[in-house]
Amino acid sequence: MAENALNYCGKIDEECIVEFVDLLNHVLVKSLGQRKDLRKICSFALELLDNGMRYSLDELITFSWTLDSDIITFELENKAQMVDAFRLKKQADLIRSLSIEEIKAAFHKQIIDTSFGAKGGAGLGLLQMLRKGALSIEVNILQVESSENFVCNSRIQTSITTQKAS
Amino acid sequence: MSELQLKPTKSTPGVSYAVNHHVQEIVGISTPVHAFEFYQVLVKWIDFNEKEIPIDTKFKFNLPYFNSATMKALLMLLERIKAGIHSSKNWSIVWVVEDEDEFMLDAAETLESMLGMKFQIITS
Repeated sequence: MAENALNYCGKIDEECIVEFVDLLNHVLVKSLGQRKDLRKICSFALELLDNGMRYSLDELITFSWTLDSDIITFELENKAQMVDAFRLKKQADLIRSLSIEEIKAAFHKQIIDTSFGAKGGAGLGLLQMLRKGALSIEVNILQVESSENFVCNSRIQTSITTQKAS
Repeated sequence: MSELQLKPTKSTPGVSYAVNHHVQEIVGISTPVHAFEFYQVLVKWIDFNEKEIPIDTKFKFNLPYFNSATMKALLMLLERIKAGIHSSKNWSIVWVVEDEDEFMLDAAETLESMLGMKFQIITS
């Protein structure tokens, strides 16, 4: 059973993201105590919410975190254009198979590429989460009936036990 | 345009750049959708004012949280500062890390590695 969870369904913007990250940080301090890696854990939520805000067709998302004894799970769902949904799915499937060295190389290649996506994205979010120790990254997409749009579901897990402060 | 003062918002940092300052500072959370546009203003300010910026200027970054679009845009700003250093300026980059925070420290190390130069890391 989850020790601590949040479920949100609603609008998202830049300011909402900061509020969520602040709330998560407080929850983590309360649950785990003050540690050096809490902002790193919060950055997973930040990247996921940033993706949702950027690519949601209607500014709506469903977002949750579930804090268990040794793992935190983040899940995000939003409607997206077909091209964005397929790109996200393709990238997630691709980077999941990469070694640590290949992830570092892919991150390096992407960050020095000075172009940004049409919606202002840097193409770094998933790579950042893997670099920072995501245990799993799953992206599933489902076509919205009678539409060219898709629902994207992204699920990220990371350990919260490995770097407990002394 | 000798000064660039931007008040912090919930999702963008405060900026205090001025040609009569020896410390040019960015402080706050950075999660804008359009990070490139935000940080290009700072790059252009340096382009425009390079001759007037004091030779011993410190460019100070205190960013507790930022999205990955910001990280890419920051790298472009840092590349511009590095270009100034290569053209005989004695500028330096100061990176603030709060309480040995891993997010801020990892960002500093990653950006140092990308740029091939060391920052002055200060803890607060």
